[in-house]
Amino acid sequence: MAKKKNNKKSKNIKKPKISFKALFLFFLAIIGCILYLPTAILFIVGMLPTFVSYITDTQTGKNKTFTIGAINFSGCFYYLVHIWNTSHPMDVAMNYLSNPMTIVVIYSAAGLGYVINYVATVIVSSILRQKGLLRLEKIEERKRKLEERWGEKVNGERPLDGQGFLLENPDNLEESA
Amino acid sequence: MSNTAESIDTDKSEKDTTSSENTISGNDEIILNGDFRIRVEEPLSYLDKGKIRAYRTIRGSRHGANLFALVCDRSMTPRFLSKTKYMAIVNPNLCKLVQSGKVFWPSHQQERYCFIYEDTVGNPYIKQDEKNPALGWKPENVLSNIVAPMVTVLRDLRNKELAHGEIWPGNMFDGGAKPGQKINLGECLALPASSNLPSLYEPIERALADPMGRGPGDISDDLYSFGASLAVMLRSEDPMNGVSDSKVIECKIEKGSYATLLGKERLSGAILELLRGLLYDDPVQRWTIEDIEAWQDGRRLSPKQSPKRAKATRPIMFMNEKYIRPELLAKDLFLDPDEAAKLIDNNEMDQWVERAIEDKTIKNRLEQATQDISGYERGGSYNNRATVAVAHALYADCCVQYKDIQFQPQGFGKYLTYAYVQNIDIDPYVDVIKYNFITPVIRESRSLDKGILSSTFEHARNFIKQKGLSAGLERCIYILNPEAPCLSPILDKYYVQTTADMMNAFESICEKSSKATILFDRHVISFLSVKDRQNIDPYLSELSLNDPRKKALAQLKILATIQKRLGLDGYPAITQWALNNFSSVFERFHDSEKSNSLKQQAEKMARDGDLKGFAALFDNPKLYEHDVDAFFQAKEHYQKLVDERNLIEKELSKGDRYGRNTGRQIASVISMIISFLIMIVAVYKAFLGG
Repeated sequence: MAKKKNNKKSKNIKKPKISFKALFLFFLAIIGCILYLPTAILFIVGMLPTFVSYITDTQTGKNKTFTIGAINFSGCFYYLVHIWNTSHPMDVAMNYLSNPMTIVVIYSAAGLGYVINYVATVIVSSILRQKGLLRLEKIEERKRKLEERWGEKVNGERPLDGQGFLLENPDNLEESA
Repeated sequence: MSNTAESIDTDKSEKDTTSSENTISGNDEIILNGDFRIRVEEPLSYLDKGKIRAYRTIRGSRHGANLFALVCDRSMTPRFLSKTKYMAIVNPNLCKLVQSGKVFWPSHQQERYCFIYEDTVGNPYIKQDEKNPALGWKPENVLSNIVAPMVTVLRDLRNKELAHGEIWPGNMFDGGAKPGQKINLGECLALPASSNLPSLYEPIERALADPMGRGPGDISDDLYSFGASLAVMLRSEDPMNGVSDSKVIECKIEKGSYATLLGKERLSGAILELLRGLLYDDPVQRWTIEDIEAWQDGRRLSPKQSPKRAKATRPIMFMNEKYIRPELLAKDLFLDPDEAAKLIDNNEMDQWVERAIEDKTIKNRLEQATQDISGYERGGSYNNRATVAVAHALYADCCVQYKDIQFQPQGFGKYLTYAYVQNIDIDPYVDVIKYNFITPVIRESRSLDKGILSSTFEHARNFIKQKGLSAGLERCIYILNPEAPCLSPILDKYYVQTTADMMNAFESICEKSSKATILFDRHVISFLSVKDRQNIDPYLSELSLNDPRKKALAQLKILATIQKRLGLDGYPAITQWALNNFSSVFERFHDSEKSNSLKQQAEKMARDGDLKGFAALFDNPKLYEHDVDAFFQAKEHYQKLVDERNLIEKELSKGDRYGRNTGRQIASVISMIISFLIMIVAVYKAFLGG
């Protein structure tokens, strides 16, 4: 009996399914890394801040990761171009990785991404807040003007007849309804 | 103090009333149409006509021609519709009408209608209150000085189809000459026809009626009055001295008018023939103008045999008196309708007519009357109504005698108006209109225009049963008396004869009181509807509603329609009044901007007195539809604003988190652009920059 129950439980637990497409891309990436190993080494090391951001960014859309990643990649790209432009890429790649300046430059680029993300978010949020408050004022002004022109009954808070006039005895309407 | 006036010509009156003003000048003079000065302190009592007072009047300068004014009474409707016919008669022996119109009479504090005549008439042959007139003039003088000129006057009256109604020595004047040497016939417009004519000068059937209810009569009645007047001039004594009017009538029925008026007076020659011809009691037998002219030419007409009045072989007892003539019984039946009803119900009347009178005509009429009575509703005034029917069966030309009123059907309108204004008990008059017992009377009468009269009474009866604003007794007054002024208490100070008069009176009222004044009551509505139903009838249903908005709109439309149809000038005070009453209409609009815009336009119209333009502003059925549609659109828009506000407030309530997502998105875009630029620079440096 206990075995049967365990079987049932195991059936209910869904195992994460890996799609064929993902598997295919993974193998393609492995093959790409093997084929272009110097580029892969530099990319993996250089893009570490982005990977960290990807893991820590819980927002839908991962905009923060995208912001950091884009600048981070541009930092890597400078060195990658040099690797692609040489006849001994592995040596050049190892040379870059062994030079702390390379890591500083690439990770500073990622930091710039962080800064851009922080500053832009704060500024835009503030602007939008002010805009919202202004819109609220305009809405209140528009409502006031509508009430001035059409009367208080335009707010729809009290029951009206078919001609738009206040019902003298709204209870009757409710009863008839 | 100013008031409107009216020119003589009825057609022109509408324009004149708005253009000219009648004023009270110094020295107690009342000015009519700017030219005629009525001297209030100079009454001419010898020209008075009962309640109607005469005053010396001057035209233009103080040395102008002598005139006299007759100032009419509101209750005794003057014959202003006959004014044009009267003016068209140019005869030196008829008092000449010079002007007429309304004046403000200070002693009564109200407008009065007045007629102004040339004062060349002299003194009347007899005083108004002369009891037993007998002038004893020589026949030859009468023939040459009275008959000849009077025939020309009567011919002119006949040609204009105007019954004078006041031919008697009290209204005949000597023109300043010795009595009997000259004749000027007095006027006949200031009072209802025959209302000031003593019954002595009236044919029997008209003499039986109340003076106010005799009706206009016709030329035949004038000829009778002329004959009676001649008799009075010729006789040297009154054979009926000290006898009451009722007894004189009885005597006329019994012996005939000639014998009653002249008694044993011996007249000879031509004048005797004329008198006999004019004093025939049967209007069919009575001489006509042609007969008189033939007689003047020397042709001697064979005297017509007057049909003998029916006489019973045995009397019938009524009110402890014996009656042998059906006419006399008919004359007195109304005095005790209960006893009369008994005679009818127990067939005593039928038997008397059938066995004692043996007149087939009367018998047939009585049978018809009995049949009519069987259809009457019992109770109430049944006895009175039955009495009227039977009286007419016995005497076809007898006036209607119902309860306390006696009248000829043609004279009922003015009779009713008189009673209404004088606050006399109106119930018998209402009964006459309400119950159709007058229809057989009209049917049996010989000298009436039956068709028109029947339809007029039928028309009135339809309205007296209704309770609408334009129905009831008020409307009946104006249907039955087309010459009646509007008797509305609102217009108490004004003499309103036409719709244009009413507009002028309204303007005056509104000028004096700009506050909320009621201009439309049952009298005004009935008067307007009777005068021209197109002015008011389309708006009657709205006018009777309790909705102040619809009522105000209906009132404006009526006033605007009158202004448009009559082509009248501006009425600023009325328009302002209408505007003051329009608050409910402006409140009806949801759109205050539209309402204010209309109000501004209406105020401009009010300054110009343009009722038509004012009404046109609201004469658009889609005006309210558009307003309602726009209101609901505005309401929907308002709701969207509320929804948007709620959404924004909800977002703002998130505090610092508000807008962060958007900020991150923008940051992504910025970083992408920067990274792209860096990559371009990197590629450039690596491959091209060396």
